[in-house]
Amino acid sequence: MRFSGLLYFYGRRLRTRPVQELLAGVGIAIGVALVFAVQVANSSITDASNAIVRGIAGTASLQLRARDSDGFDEHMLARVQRLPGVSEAAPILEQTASLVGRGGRHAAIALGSAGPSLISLDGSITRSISLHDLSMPGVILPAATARALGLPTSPSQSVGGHPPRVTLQVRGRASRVAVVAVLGPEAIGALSGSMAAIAPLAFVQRVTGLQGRVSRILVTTIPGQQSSVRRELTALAAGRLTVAPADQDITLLEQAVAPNTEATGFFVLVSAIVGLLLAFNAMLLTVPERRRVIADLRMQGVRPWQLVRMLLFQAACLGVVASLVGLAVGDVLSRTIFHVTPSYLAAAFPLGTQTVIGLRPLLVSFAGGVLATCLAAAPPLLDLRRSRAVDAVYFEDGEPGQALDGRAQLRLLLAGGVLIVLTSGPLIFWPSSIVLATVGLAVATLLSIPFAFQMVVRLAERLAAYSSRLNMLTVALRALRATTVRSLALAATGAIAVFGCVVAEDSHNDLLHGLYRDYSEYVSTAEVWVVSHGDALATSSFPARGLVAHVASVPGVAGVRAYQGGFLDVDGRRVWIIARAASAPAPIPASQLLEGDIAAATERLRKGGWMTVSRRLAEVNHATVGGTLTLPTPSGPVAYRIAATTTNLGWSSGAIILNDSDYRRAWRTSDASALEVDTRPGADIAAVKRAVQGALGPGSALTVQTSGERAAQADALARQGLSRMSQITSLLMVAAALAMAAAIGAGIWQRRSSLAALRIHSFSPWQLRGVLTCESVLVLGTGGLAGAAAGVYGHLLCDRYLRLTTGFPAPFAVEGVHTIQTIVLIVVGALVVLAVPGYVASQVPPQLALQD
Amino acid sequence: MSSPVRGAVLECDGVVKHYPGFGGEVVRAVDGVTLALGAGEIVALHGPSGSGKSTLLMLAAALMAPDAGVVRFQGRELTSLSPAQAANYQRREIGFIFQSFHLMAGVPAVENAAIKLLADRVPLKHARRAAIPWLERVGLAGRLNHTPDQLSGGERQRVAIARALVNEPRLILADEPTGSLDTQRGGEVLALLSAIARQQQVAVLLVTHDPQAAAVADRVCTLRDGRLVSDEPAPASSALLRQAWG
Repeated sequence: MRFSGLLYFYGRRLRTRPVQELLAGVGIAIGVALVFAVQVANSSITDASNAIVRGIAGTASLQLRARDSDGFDEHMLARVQRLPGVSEAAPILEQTASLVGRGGRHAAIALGSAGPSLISLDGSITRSISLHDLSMPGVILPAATARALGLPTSPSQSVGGHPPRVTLQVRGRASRVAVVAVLGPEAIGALSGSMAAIAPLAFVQRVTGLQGRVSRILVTTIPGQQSSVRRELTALAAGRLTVAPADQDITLLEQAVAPNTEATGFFVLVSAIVGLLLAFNAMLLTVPERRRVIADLRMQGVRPWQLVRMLLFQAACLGVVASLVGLAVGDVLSRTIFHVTPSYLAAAFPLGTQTVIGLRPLLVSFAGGVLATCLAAAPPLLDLRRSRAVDAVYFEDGEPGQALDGRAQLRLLLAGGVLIVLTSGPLIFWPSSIVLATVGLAVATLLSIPFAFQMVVRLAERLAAYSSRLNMLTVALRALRATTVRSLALAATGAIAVFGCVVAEDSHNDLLHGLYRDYSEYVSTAEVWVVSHGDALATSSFPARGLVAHVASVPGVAGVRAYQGGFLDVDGRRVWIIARAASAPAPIPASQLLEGDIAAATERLRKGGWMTVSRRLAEVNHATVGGTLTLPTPSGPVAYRIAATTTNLGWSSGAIILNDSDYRRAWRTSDASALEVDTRPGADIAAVKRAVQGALGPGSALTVQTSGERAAQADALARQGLSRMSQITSLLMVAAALAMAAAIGAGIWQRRSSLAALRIHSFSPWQLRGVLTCESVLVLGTGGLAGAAAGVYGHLLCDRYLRLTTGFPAPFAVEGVHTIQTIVLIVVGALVVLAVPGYVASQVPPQLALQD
Repeated sequence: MSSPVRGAVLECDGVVKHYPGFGGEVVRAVDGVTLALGAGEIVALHGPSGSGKSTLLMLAAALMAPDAGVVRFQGRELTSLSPAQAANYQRREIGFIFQSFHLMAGVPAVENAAIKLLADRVPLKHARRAAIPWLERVGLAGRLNHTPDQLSGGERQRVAIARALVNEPRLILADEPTGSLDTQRGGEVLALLSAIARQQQVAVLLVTHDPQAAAVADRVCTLRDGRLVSDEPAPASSALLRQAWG
């Protein structure tokens, strides 16, 4: 068959069955859109960060990095520049800070400062910053930051004349600074979407009180000299600084977002299965007509391989168009609903806010859509078997392979059971095999649908036998036998959607409950906290000398402890360090303890030389309770003994709790990152909070919060960071309900002739509506119940994975109400959408039965 | 308009039905047809496509109302029936047979035959019991639990005939019942229909293109452009055949 012939037949099909083709296309597009949007949203976090890190580092391949926020002596720069093999070296001083703009609008930012030498690294971002701007005493803001502060953002330009001023809060100090330029994407690309500020090095050193200090030095080497420069830098670091690739932050960020990526990867999987099932459903509607065409053409002498080409051509055309539409919709989704940059990571990593579309998600989604369409279009090809040549003519009522006998159903169910055992068994030994277990469970759910469907039908038959008032249920049960394959496919779609929603939403809720419990316990050591604005993890340090005594003198305050903390890169992870005073009432959150005894661990921690570590961190270092782990501290490697292991305390890379004396010694700083304030018995906490805030004075960059407010802030941050999971779940439910409703609706529409026959047999429109409603509820309900059962088990597996592999606190709790809500939402959603086509179909004129 | 014909089961008296056509034209689907069927009588309705045969069936089934004229069932005007009464009439008094059978796939013959009783709130068990004698009567005693895909075309149409008879109607309306069957099976189905009609004293209005239909009919009517152009007794040869089959 020539190409023109293929086109002719497809054109004919489009003209005669436009609605069927449209429906099939919509099903495929929904699946592609979901898969693409989730992948893009997922990869955008690291891709955007990658663009920023590489855009700043330019030609630099190495860096010498401080291990704390105080940095190191800037004279190190000259020594680095003198090293043989170094062609360029640029110092940077980085701090987490806040800006306060018009109307008191706050923005938490990464404050980066550099000298003209950074521009010489020729990074795609820094090369666009003018030397003039970088020499002015003030900050350069990316457009997103300026927007958040209520400042004008376009056009990108240097702000001449009287530049607007904002308040910069950093290291406990507040200073009024000028905004010397606002730069948009045309000037600094990816960085324009970041919450950041750039300023001259000397200026930032002055406002932070870190005169003569830098955080890192980016190093460009002469080609071929990287290894020798690295050795020289390591010698220069003397164990107190870190020598790493210039883009090390990307590796650390990838590690930090790995659990999130894996969790959303699960959604990609569920979305892909739902997408494939939707496409399959949609294509099933076209099967009878395609079979007739095949039979017609075969009887006219068209050869089987020509028919295969024709069907594949039609499927490919549909797949390509629908996948392109799906990519466009997915792009919109990834830029709107799914566009969330987890704020909790901003304290530790340079994050971009823009959506980055990589080639991989594009190709995977597109190819998947086309392949799914071709697979779904395949059933009519069964008629090409020699024995089935004219089945479509003589057995036009049925669909190929529509009936599954009881034995086949049982076999499928058993195969599903075996699959669950085989795929979830390895979880006992390898908790990270969750993806295998999830795939196994999803496939097992599909395999169980025929049996579950049969069980539901039998139960419904028994129910219908009770009363002739339920005769419409009886008729519906008979009608379902006529469309077994389609009904099973629809039920399977519902099952996978419910399965995905239950697993994701319940695990998400467990995680939120676990995080909230963890944070509540973590901050309950003091009634009132003094921290830098927006610093939920208390990792931004500030000079505390004098401040402790000042706050302690506030009426109602019983005592003040300096709390120290920050981030430390340990074995490729950016670990959260918590240093608590020996006098802190409960330095270790007891609910987060995994191994060890809480009383003994607390006593050892207070004594010094001991620490608790997240179990995952201990595992990768092959350390156990009682053993030692060496930390690369700012004063050099220090070995601590492990008093206990904990969850990751909500920080995906892991956390370490140690004694503040140990911290002060190893980090060589007395700066605090928070003050823990104990109130006098009977004191009004809100009044003490106000009094402390007053004592800090209006110019202070510090904020005062009660422990409840801090827990709520952390909870909000966790919810924001995990919000994509909820959004995907909701979208999955809506998409599944809509797509199933569309497929059922189209199926009903195709059956108008047989419905008309029922009307001639004196079934009233009301009775037909009863039949259609019963059919829909049975199909959707079967899928919902099977999906819910699998979902509860999947939820259990997911929680195990979260606790054992990622180390997140996620106490398992069956949320029956939520599971029922999910089923009801999907079933009711689909029924509501179905109401219109169902009503119209029930009014079918009886004479239609005579018109075929 | 004449008064009801004594003993007629179905009577059409000057029935007119128009449809709007293209370009404001009026299609006179049925144009002044007068026709009567008695109990046990079979009338074959011939005519080319578009001559108004199916429209006449729908008028007889009270699925539509005539624009003029009267349709009576056992002397009662169908146009005067309320929707509920019309539904009652369809449920109790008529049986329908379609060219394409309209059986439910995957459903046993006995339940397909019983399906219309369910609309009348008859419990499934009783409906099945009521359908079995009719399936036996049409020669499917051994195939009660066979689904349509396990039956031949002729057997499927027999199930449809049993379904039409299960409510013991006074009138059967058959729309091309042999249209999907080969000559032999078509002949068998017509003979069966004829025999049952006579035994049960059911009037049969048989819309057909099949020349064999004349063999079982008492009268052959011809419609052309909505008008009844002939209404004649079946040929004598047909009467012999009828005797042989009946």
